[in-house]
This record gives sequence, structure tokens and C-alpha cells, in this order.
Amino acid sequence: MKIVAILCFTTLLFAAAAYASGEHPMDMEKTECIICHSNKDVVSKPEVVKEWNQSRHSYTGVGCGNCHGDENNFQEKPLKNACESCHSMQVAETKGNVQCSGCHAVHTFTVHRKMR
Amino acid sequence: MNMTRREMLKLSVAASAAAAVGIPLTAETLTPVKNSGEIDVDRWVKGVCRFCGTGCGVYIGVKANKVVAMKGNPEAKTNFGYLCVKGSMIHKFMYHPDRLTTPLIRNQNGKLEPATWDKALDLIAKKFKDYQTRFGKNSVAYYGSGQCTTEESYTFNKLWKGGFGSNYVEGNPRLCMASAVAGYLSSIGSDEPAGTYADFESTKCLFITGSNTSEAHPILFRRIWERKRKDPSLKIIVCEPRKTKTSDIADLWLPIDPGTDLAVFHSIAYEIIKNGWHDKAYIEKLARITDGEKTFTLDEYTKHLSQFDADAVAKMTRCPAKSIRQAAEWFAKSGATMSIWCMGLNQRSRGVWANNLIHNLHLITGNFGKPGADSFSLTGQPNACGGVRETGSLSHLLPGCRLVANPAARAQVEKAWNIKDGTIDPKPGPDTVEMFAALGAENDTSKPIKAIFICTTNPAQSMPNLPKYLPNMQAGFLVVADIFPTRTTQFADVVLPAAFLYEKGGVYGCSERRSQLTEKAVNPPGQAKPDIWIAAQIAKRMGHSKLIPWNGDDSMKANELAWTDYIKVTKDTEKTLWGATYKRLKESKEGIQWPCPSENHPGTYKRYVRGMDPVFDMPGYKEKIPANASQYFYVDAKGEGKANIFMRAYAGAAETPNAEYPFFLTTGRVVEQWHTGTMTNRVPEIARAHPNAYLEIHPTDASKLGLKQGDMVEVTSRRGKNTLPVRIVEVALPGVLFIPMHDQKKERMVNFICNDAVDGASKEPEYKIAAVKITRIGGPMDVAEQYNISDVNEKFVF
Ligand code: SF4
Repeated sequence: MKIVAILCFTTLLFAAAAYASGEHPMDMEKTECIICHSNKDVVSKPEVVKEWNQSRHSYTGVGCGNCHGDENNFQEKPLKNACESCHSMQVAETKGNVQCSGCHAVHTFTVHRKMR
Repeated sequence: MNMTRREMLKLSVAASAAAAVGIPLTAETLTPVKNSGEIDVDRWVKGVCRFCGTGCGVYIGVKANKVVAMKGNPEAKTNFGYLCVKGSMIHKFMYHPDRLTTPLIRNQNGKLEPATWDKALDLIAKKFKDYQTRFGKNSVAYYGSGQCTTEESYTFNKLWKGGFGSNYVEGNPRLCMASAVAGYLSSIGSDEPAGTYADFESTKCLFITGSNTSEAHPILFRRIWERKRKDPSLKIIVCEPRKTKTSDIADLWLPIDPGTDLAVFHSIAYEIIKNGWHDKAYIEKLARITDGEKTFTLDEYTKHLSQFDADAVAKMTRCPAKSIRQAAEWFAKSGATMSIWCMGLNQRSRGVWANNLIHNLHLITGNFGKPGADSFSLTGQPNACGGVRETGSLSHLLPGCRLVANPAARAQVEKAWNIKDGTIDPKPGPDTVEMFAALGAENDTSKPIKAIFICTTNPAQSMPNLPKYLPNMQAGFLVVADIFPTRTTQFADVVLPAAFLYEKGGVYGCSERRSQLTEKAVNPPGQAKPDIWIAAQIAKRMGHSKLIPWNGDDSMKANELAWTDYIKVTKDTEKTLWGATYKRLKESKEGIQWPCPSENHPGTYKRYVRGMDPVFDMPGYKEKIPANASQYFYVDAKGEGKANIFMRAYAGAAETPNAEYPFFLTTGRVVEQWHTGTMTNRVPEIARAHPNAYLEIHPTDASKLGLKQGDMVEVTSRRGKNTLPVRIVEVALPGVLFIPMHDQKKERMVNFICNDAVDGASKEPEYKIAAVKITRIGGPMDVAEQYNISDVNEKFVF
């Protein structure tokens, strides 16, 4: 019990500190992201995994790490540089601070409004 | 989603900790946007993706002389700027600490130790010369890759066939595309498709079989999806034993037991002819029905097909008769049908027949030579087509995909290479499986091959039936050129640190006959060198610098000389790239599709069609093409301008389930990983999504065996076994199991299980089908290792 309490406290401190700096709030180890992120006991919005699972990104294998990075370069809210590798033409048309997520619903990734 | 106990424990601790401070672990606690998020680079260099056969055009982002980013090339006709997960992350493994940066020689204690280039190359040349003197010219073999550049494969091929007079030249395309090559040669008369990806935009019915396009060719799948989104009237039929994400966009899924698809293809042909949906005029004018020797009438063919009545075939294959009939109707009546396939048809003991039967469907319905209608084989590797098939870097081929056994072809190549008549050995060399079976120690008289140069490939993981071939790789003298330590470098006597594609430049030719040039973007790390330099240095040390004069240090200069030599040798063939000069390829943002006979020719969208295919006007061809022929198979060996509708028998897999081995096992890719995982598994962002291999099993089978999610099982075939966790999902049919092929951990390397039975004509092994049994050995274990070989001296105990 004591060990669990210490572990909880340590993790709690780590999580709080990590959030403050915008890093992933816990050690990601080598686990697949969706193992934690589809569990409602761990995350408050497990539906994002479901949404992603129905998206075109899921169908072409664009997974969490592609946009959110990994432990060393984690981005909670990916900027357009995360989109540019695969959508270079579209990003070239997105000037200044305008971010892709401003128009495209993240995780479901609807196509551009103008195109619909 | 079920989890292992360790994961549950970990998660509950994390959840309670987060809940205690009121932090929801969601994307709502977001870092505010602080910058514009633009990629910061000094320059973007034009190139092509290093991975699959789609051939996506890229820009390589360079900052401070390092590759720091990738983006798609919007002007590329293959991908229009889009990249998949692998292509977008190439820069993430290029500077991984495991990169090989110095030559290594195995010392007397069995340890690899650093050496100078001179020492390593002198040793290779000395050993090769010694073996050739003592055991003959064929005692030293070359094993290349569909991932070498065209210039590299061409150089090694020229050195072996023109320099050593040895056809002991093979490459891993034998393991992936050989059945497609033999299929095109036997059905159509010339390798590679008539059409291009542009047919995706005009097809009205797409038949996908033996391909999980969504994972293996994701950017083509994106293109197909986009077409379907814009035009829902496009019919998509998928014929596969696994209901993958590719099938999710299909209008019709044809489930089949592995290896039974030949019956389904025959049955579709029967339905088409029985209902009168075939194109009689096309068959009469442009096709002959044959078994390879005799020719037959349409009635005789129909009688042959009648044994494949849909109801009977449904019982054999598990494909519903109704679905076969529907597929036949859509295929024949769409107006423009395109088929695509990949390893699911090629890696089979009847791979050539499977290819023939798809071509048959196109020929009997006239779905050939018009927009949207084509019989189109997808290639797995980025340069299997350009680098190996077109340069003829296999044991039975010469540049231009001409046959070694053909005296006229040998004479043409000898003349172009300016070598003595009769230098090229008229006898084809062994295929890959034979080659590795014949490799062995100096004192082993049963093994005639004593040394092998292995370039850009990892046969100690990728050969089927590994228990049979690993001892031979251990016994022979192995030289391995690669960028990372691999299962194969673990057996190497000499390891050569290779430059990565963007550190040397070169041409790749993708599935649609398109050659695209990558510029050198940065210098290689440490002492790593381009493979073309390595080949030329060996040639120089072995007395062949006249044959391979491009032995300077400037890789782009060497590439240009090799390319120019290559296009001269193939100038008068139907695969001509004579107009695709290096200058032009450098300037072009989209590459060039052969045939391209002159510098002012734009490249070819459709072969065998007058007005589109320049071969109609090329000397040596135009004389035999009737002036009024609008479509003509000028490559027909019989000289009648016809393609072959093959009257093939039915044959299933070499190994089928029985009481002892009750399951079918199939294998394949996942989108995140490439081949043996040595590059992609070093990218944490994507390796995390696929950290280990697993056994995919249907819930019905799992419940019969009492298996729970994550349980550890032993999967055993007649050849070897794997130990890995189960993933219980409704993807494959009950009775059919799947293990992905990328894990480097010995216990999960699926090729210990896979069958090395080969196709009689193409000699391609049947990776796709094995009979196996499963034994539960325990509850869930954490095997999410993302395992790589980092220490060059780590032993491979097998
Ligand atoms: S689809 Fe193939 S060629 Fe295109 S980016 Fe992905 S791996 Fe590279």
C-alpha cells in the first residue's frame, strides 16, 4: 500500500511538472499510444481514438506519433510543420500563424471546408 | 482494447495520479501556439522516397548540411505532394547512433573490428580473386536489392556479367516481383504494366487482389480513396483472405482461403463468357488462347473454365457464388476496369499462374489499352522495377529485361559494353533460393558458392525458411554493405558502411515505369561511401576499371556516367530511356516514363497503343507492326501482335492445413514499418505504433483455443517457430492467421516459419502461405521492445 502511495505521488508530481512544460505527462515507455488513450479510466476523451479510427488518417496509417511526435519532441497541439511533410502544397497556402487545425476538425480530419 | 496486466497497473497508477491533481490527460491542456510552425531549413533538395514502390516525389530539407525534414513534392505525378508515415519521417533515422560509419573486418577471434577502406577493399578483391581462381568464376555471387539505385544495380550487374563472365547475380526482387515479371513476359510478352497510375482517375471498376494497398502503398490508396470520394459510382472489388482497411472502401469483398484465388479468377472468367459479357472482337484480334504450347478455341477455353462454376468454387474457396457473379458483371461491364495486385499473388508457388489469370480477365473483356483499363502490378520496393527488372540484374536477365539465354541479346549487350564476343555466359545463374542453398564454406565440396556480396538487403532476416539458409550465410565469405547493423551483418566477414540515398543521389524507377532522380543532398556520415563507389573500387582492384570507369569520389558524376552507359545499352529496346538524359532527369520534377526514345519525347502513358506508344515508330519494331493497327502487342514472341490468354489448370498452395498443422498462416506489411524494420524501427514516432510482431487470430479460433487478448503462443510450421502475443481481431477469416514481417527479434522473425517452396517458373518463394499449429504458452507478456541490433558484435544465435 505504502509503495503504491509513493508511486502515485511520484507519478502525480511528474505528471504535474510535465503538463506545466507541455511535455507528455508520463513516461511513454514503448507502449502504443492508443492503449492508454482509448481507456476512459486514464483519459477523459477516449473518443478521440474512435474518431481517428474512422478518419482517413487511420486508413492510410497516419498514427498519433506522426503529428504529436514522441517523448523527445512531443507536441500536444501539433503545428502546421507536423502537417507539412505530407501536405506540403496545402501548408504552402497557409500563411503566417494560421494553423491547419483552425479549419480542419482534428482527429476526424475533415477535408478543407472550401472543398466540400 | 484489452491490455496486459503491467499496462493496466501502469495506467491505473497514472490515472489516479492525474485525477488527484485534477488533470485530465487530454488534449485540452494544450500548449498555446507560440510560433508559426513553419519548417526551418536552408534548402529543399529534390528527390524520391526511399521506401515503397509508389515512388513518391519528395523534397529533402537540409539545414547546416544535415537532413532535418521531409516534405512531398506537389509537382510529382505519383503523389501530388502527399507522403505517408514512412516517407515523412526519413530524416529521423538517418543520424541514428547505430549508423555504420567505418568499414569492419572480422578478426580471428570472430569480432568485427574497424578497418580502413583500402584494407577492406583489398581483402575483398583478394578473396574474390582467390575463390574465382580456385573454384571458378561462379564461386563469387552478388545479391542486390530493389532499393539500390539503378546506377548501382547496373554497375554490379555489368561487373559480374561483363567483367567476371558470371551470371551469379541475384537480388531481392526475386523474392517479391519475379512472378509479376514472368506473368507479364508470358501473358503480354514484355515486363511491366501497359498503363500508369493515371488510370486510377479514369477507371470505372477497380479490382484489388493480393494487396493490402492501404498499408503497403498508402499514397496510392489515398489516391484511390479520393477518386471514390469524388465519384462513388466507381466500383471497388477486393479479393483477399483478410478484411483489411483496403476492403473497408470496397463495394464488394471476395473472401478466399489462401491459395484458392486461382479458382475464383477462373470462375469470374467463366461467368463473363457464359453471360456473353466478353469482348469477342478483342479476343479474335489481339489475343490467342494457349497453354503455352498449343492454341485453343474460345469454346475449348469455355469448356475448361466450366469446371470453375461459381457454386463449386464457393465450396473450394469460401468465396460466396453470388459475389463471384457480381464481380464478373462489374469487371466485364464497367466500361474500364483496372486490376492491381502485389505480393499476395506474387509470393506464391503458383504466382505466375495467378498473374496470368488476372491478365486473362483483361484480355477476354478488352480491358486493356484504353484509359482506366489495365492489368497493373504494384511493385513493393522503390527501385525493383527501374533498378533490377529494367537493368536485368537477375541471374537470367540482361539490361532491358532481355534474356541471358538469348544469343542475340547477349551479342547486343556485349557489343554495347565493348567486350569480347562470348564473354557473357549463355547459362542463366541460380535463383535466390538456389544461390543461398549453394553458399558455404571453402572446404565444403557440396557448396559451390564460396563468397557473396550483399548490398542494401538483409537476407538473414528476409529469406524464407531461415533455419535452412542461416548456416550457409554463416559458413560462406560474406561482404555486406548497409547503413545499419542487421541480422545479415551479424554473419558478415566484411561490413561496408554505405551512404544513404540522400547522401549519394541516383535514379529510382517506380511501379508505373517512371524514373525519378534524387539529388545528393548531404555528405554521408563518417567514412560511409556510396555503393556505386564500392562497386567501382572492387572493379578497379579486380582489373575491370575499363569496364567500370566511374570510380571517382563524386557520386553524382559516377551516377551520371553509369546512367548514360545504361541508357545506351537499352537504347533500342522497348524499355528505352534514351531520351531521359541525366540532365533532363535532374531538371524534371516528375521524372520520365519509358519508353522515351528521344530527348524531345515526353514519356509514355500507355504502351501498345498507336499514338501513345513511341515504340510503334522505332526501328526494329515499326517494320513488324501493321499500318492499320491501333493496338498491337509488338512484343509477341510469335510475331502476331497478340497477347496470351493462358489456359492454366488449378493449383492451390504448396502446403495446406491438416490435422497436425490446422491453420493457414499468411504474412505481410504494416504501414509503419519497412521490410526488416532496420530503418523504420529506429523512428520512435512510428515504431511505437508497431513495436513488435504479433499473431493476428479470429475471435472464433481464439475462443476455441481458450486464448485471451495478449496471451503468448508458440506458432510452429514444419520449418520453425515463433513465440509472440496474440491479437484477437476480426480481420482474417477464421482458420487464417497473420504475422507481420518486420520484427528483428529472433523469436518473432516470421521467416523462421515461412515456406521456401518456389514457383516453377519465377522461382519466387511462397511466403504468403504456410500451414501452422498454435500452442498457448502463457498469459500476456510485455514484448513491445522496438528491438534493433545496435552492437555490431552481438551474436545471432539461431
Ligand atoms: S507511399 Fe511509399 S513512396 Fe510514398 S511516402 Fe509512403 S513509403 Fe514513401
